[in-house]
Amino acid sequence: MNAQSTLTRVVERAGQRLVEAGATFLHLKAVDEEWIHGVRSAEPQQIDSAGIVIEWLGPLRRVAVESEIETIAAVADGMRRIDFQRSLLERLADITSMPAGLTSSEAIQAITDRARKAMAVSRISLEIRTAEAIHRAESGAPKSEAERLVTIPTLTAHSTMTIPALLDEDLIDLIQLVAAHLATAIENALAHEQSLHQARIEEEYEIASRVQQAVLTRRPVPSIEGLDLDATSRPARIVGGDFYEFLPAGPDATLVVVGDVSGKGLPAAILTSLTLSTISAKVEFLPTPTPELIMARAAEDLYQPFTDVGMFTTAVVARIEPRRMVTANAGHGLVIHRPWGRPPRLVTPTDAPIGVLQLTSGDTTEVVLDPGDLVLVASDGITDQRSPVGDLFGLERLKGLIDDGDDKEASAWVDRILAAVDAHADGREQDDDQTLLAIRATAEGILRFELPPDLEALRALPGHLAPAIPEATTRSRVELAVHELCVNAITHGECRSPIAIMVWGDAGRTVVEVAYDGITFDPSAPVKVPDEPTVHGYGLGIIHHLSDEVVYVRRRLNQTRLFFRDRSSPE
Amino acid sequence: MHLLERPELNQLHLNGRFDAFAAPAVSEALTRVAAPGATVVVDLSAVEFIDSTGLATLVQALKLQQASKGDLILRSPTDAVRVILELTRLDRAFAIEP
Repeated sequence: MNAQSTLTRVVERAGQRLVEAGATFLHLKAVDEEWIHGVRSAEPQQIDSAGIVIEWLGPLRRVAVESEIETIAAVADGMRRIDFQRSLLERLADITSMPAGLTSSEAIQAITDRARKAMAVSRISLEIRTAEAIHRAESGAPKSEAERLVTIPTLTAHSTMTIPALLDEDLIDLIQLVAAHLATAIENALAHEQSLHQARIEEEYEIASRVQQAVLTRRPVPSIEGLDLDATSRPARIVGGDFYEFLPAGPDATLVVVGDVSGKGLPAAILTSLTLSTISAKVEFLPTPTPELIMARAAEDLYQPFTDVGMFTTAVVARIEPRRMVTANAGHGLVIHRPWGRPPRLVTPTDAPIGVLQLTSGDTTEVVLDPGDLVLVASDGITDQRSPVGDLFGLERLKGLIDDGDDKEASAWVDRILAAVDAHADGREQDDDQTLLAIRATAEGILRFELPPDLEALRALPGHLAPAIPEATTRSRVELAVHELCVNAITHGECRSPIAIMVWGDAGRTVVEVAYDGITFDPSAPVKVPDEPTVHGYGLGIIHHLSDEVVYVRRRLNQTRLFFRDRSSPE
Repeated sequence: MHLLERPELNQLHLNGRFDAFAAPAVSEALTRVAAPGATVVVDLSAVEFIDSTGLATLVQALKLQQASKGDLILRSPTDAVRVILELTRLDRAFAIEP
C-alpha cells in the first residue's frame, strides 16, 4: 500500500466524519516531498468522494526549519534531515495519544508546542480558517476574524495540511485520525528512505575513504641517499583526520608534513585535505620554503576555516636531510628522536595547533642526525590505543620499543610498533586514527675504511682521516682518540679481524665510529686520570679528554662513537 | 721511529711517532741508556706523536730510575707531546727541560 492510497483512505474516513458532522468539504494540502515514495509521482489532482476535495499542491513552506548546526558536509546534512524527520514522526505519535477533552485551540497549541520542542525550531504555525476564507484568500479578499482553518505541519518541514474549521471535538478526532494514519504511512516510507540514505551515506564514506587513501599515497616515499623513510596511516573510521605527506625539497632533502585534525570521520577528513593542499601550495610557491615560513603562512590561511567550524589541527613541517632535521611544530606532541645508542627524547612543539592562533613563533627545532638515529612522528592514536581493559598504550611503551640500540630499517620499525599496538589492543577496536612515520639516517655516502688488527697498521690512520677533517686541531684530537681506541681493541680486546672506521660531520662537528669484533669493552664509562703516575690507564682518559661524547653499543660488534666539537673557534 | 742512543750520556733521542708499535723498541733502548742511580734524559724534540703506550713506557722508565735513586728527564717536548703530558697531568710527574 503506497502513501497516496493511504492518504486517500485517511481522507475518505475523515470525510465520513465530516459528512456526519455536517461539513461541506475537506481541503487537504499535502506536499510531494521526494522522500515519500508513491507520492513523489502524484500529479495535482482532484478526487470527489462524498463531497470531499483532495488537492495536491507544491511545496508550501509553512514551517521553516532553522538549521541547528552548520555542518560542512553535504552528507552530514542528509543525516540531519533524517534526524529531523524522525523527530516529526515522534511528534505525530504524540499527537495520536493526546489527552481527550482538549479544545481545538488547546490541541493546536499542544501540537505546536510539541512540534517546536521535537524539532527545536521556533517557526511552526497552525491556523484555523473557514473554507470560505480560502476562496477569499485566493481571490485576494481580506481575511476576516471568522477565518478558521487548520494548517498542520505534517510530513516534513515543507508540507502542510489544511482542514476547514470543525466543531472542536470533531477537529481533534480528525487530527488524531489523520495523524495516526499518516504516522504509519510515513514510518514505512521513512524506514525505506532511511535504509536508502544509509546505503548512500556508506557508499559516500567508502568513496571518501578511497579518495583519502589515494591522496595519502599519491606521493611515494622519496628515495634520498643517507635516509631511510617509511610511513603508514590507519583511520579509525572509514576516513580519518590524520594526514601526512612527503613534499619535494631538492635532491638531498625532503619535506615531510604530518598532522592530526581534531575529531574523526568525514568533517575531519575534509579539513585534512584543506590543510595538506594549503601546505603543498606554500611549499610550491614560497621563494624559500623553510619549515617556519611554510608553517607561518599555512597557519595564517587556515586559521579562519578552522575557527569557523570550531576545530583545529596539529601539524609538523620538517625538512629532513641525511644529517639533520629542522622542524616547525604546531602542537604535535609525538615527534621522538632516538639518537643512536641513546635514549629517545621528545622534540617539543614550537607553536600552538593551527586554528588556535593566527600567528606563529617563527621558531624551529634542529636535530642533528647521525647514522642509526631514528625519528618517529606518530599521531596520538598510537599512544592512546587502549587495551580491552582500557589501559593506554602510552608514550613510555612507545619509547621503550625503540630504546634498544637496534638499527633496523624504517619499515621494520613501523611494523614492529604497529604489531605492538595491535597486541596491546588485543582485538579491541582501533580508538583513533593511527599514523606513524619512521625516519632513519643511514651510513650511505659516509667515508668508511678498515684497518687490519695490528699496531703498525694503525699508522695509516692519519692518512685516512686527513681528507675528512679539514681543521688541524680537531684532526689531531680525532687521530689520537681513534688511535687509542684501536690500540685498546688490539692489545686488550682480542680483536682479530679488521677494524671498521667511519668518519662524518659538518662544520664544527666530527663523529667517528670504530667497530670491531672482540671481547665486550665499554669505553663510554667516565674515567678519572690517575693522580699518581701509573704504567697503565692513560688511554681512556685521553679518549674522554679529547672527545666531547663517547657512545657505545654492543650488539654483534663493539661499536664506539666519538663526538668532537670544533674547539678552535670560540663557543 | 728513529732512535739515537747515547749510553755514555744516559741520553736517548726519539724521532717520529712514539706509539704502541714503537714502544717495545723504545723500552729496550731505555734499558740500554739507563744505569742505576743515573739521570736519564729522553729528548722528545723530534717526536710528532705520542700515545698512551708511549707515555706508559716513559712512566715505567721513570719508576725504574726513581727506584735506584736516579731520575728521568724529558727534554724539549714538542707541542703535540706537551699537550698530552698536560692532559694526563704527567707534566707534574716528570722533570721537563725546555
